Amino acid sequence: MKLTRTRWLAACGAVAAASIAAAGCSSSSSSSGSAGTSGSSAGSGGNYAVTAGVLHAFTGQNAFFGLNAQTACKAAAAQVNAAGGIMGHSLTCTAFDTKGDPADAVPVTNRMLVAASHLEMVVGPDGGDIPSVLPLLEQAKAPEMNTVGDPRYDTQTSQYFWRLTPSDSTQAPALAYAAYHLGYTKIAEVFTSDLSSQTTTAPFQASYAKLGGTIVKQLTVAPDQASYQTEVAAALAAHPQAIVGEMDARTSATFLTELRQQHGSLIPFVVTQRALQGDWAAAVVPAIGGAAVSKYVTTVAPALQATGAAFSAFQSAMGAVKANPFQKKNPFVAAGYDGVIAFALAMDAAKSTDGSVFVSYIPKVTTAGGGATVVNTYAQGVAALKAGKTIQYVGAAGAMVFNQYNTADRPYAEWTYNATAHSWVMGEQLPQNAGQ
Amino acid sequence: MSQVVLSLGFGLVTASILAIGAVGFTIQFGVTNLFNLAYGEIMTVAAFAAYLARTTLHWDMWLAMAVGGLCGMLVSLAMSRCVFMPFLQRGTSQFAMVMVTVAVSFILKNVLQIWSGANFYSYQLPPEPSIRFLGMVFDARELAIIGLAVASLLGLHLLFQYTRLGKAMRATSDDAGLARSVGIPTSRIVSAAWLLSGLLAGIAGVALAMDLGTFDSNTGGSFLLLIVAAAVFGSVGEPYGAVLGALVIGIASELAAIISPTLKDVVAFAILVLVLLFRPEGLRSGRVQLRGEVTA
Repeated sequence: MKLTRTRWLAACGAVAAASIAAAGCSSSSSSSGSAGTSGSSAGSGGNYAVTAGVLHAFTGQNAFFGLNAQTACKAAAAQVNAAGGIMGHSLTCTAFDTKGDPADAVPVTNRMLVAASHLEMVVGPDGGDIPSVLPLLEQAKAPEMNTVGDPRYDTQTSQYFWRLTPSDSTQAPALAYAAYHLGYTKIAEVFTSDLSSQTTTAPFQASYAKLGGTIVKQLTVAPDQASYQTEVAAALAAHPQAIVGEMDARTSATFLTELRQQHGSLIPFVVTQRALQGDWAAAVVPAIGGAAVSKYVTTVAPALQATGAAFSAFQSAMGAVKANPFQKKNPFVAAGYDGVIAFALAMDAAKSTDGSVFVSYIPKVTTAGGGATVVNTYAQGVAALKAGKTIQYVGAAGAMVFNQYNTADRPYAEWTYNATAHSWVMGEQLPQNAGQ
Repeated sequence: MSQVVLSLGFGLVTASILAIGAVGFTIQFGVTNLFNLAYGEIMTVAAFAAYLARTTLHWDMWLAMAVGGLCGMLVSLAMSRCVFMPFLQRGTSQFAMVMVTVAVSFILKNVLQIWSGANFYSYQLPPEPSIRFLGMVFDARELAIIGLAVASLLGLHLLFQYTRLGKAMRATSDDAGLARSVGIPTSRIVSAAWLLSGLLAGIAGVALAMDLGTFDSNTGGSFLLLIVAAAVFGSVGEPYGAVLGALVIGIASELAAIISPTLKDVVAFAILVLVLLFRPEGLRSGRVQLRGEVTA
């Protein structure tokens, strides 16, 4: 049947009206729940799947953030679902691509909050997006877990914000401690001028000076320049024993290539956890060679469990989702995996998937003491809760002890690159609160 | 003083890459009057082509660079014939054409990103011994890049001064209508300009990737701003001006890094703004007449 122009317009109008009505219903239901559509108590709401929204960059230069977070979420969901789900509800991970751009992140977040069915937790966002996205998540009462280092969130008070890895303000002293205890008492400090690096600079300088070290040259370099020859020459002119700092993947590759060219060989480079992010070794290893990275580069990053039930469960789950070797040994992927399981256990303990209810249970299922039974997997946690016990979940990244500002203080370790296995290997674990 | 001399040398390397790129950009603009913001992506495609030649065919780096240059020529010509020409034949305005080049840039960048998997690539060149010269430090590859820039620019000078093609390019650049009326096949000259521009973009892209040590799908695009700055500095459309602009920007940014590395771009672009404030058409203004239409 051929529609006349009038009928066509009427049909369009009806569809538009129906869409608006549906959106209105969705909107009104969202205001009653936690993150959008669905906060509910156990036993009510029927058989639905709980959604974890993975809010990260999946395209662009920071795409590795999203791919790692999605892998962590899927691995945790596999564990949760294998144990019968969260109070019988299966857990699914849905990706929302912020493109690593704060401007793009806002509409994507809004779309996630409106469109994702039974969105009960958010994995993300990353450091670049969080200032623009966090207010939206707070407003929607969406519990979110992140690995952002920005010290501005060190004293945040929102009950929906949960930081799974330590702040840069504790990373800086750990970096200073590691550099000093590796025997480098005269160093050149090189950080890029971006926010995430700059938040580390001042606490690093204070800690390193307190330990007795001397910074013979301080350099703040602009990222992604065509050349760093002058900066390299300035650093070498100060005759440091090592270079310590943080540079993104491309900047590090160019800087270290030019350092090797001018000096004839590399000098030790002690770098923050930035080197453990997926793109760093991928850029630097081809530029200066895996053997050189292995010999000269030490990374200070959160420690990872290397043995035990939690580690085995994590490895098994990572295998199930076909994670790559890099992800299987990455402390940030492990932290994300642990975060999803801890949130799921908190829902079980609270007997509710409503964010405004279960968030107060997150520390209750991760804190030691008080006769809490240590559990290393989701299945163990559910069994213990059903038996009426209090639990402490200690996952693949170790104990996740949240402070009063919802940041997990974890120990750091020195990591080195294994050129044969093409992966980072955890070495000596630093003392808790190293350098502070 | 020694630091200044060192930085002068480092600046020469950056300026050489910048000069090759800026001259290619400005030649194409001078002849066609099209401000091609997809130029950076031609550089990136060429860098990847050289990478394939080097890693899969195991060719020598300089031969791989030639492959990159050839690839740049092909991409540049294809871009002009398959994308820009149909728009120009419909009388698309100059501003709209700039937006078309932006669109092409985004498309190419994203296609490259999908193809390359957002990974970094490197030619994996072995380290070269340093060579000291008048207080400056280079390695053999950097000297070769400087030499390549000098040879390219000398070749272009000879082309423009002494060959029929070069003279026809200059004539088309000055006034395409008049050039047509005296029998110059401007359509072929425009194609030659796209080819030449693509060749220089390709060489600059490969040289940049060599100098950086690593590259990805964003590398050429991120360098484009400096190339455009050098071209505008020396009067856009004017090759000798572009060389001058490249030298000033390349060297000034390295010298600024002595004071503070974060001043690199600040100083380079502050000089650009000052030049444009006092000479709005660039340092070598007057020779190239900016036209309202794009030459197809």
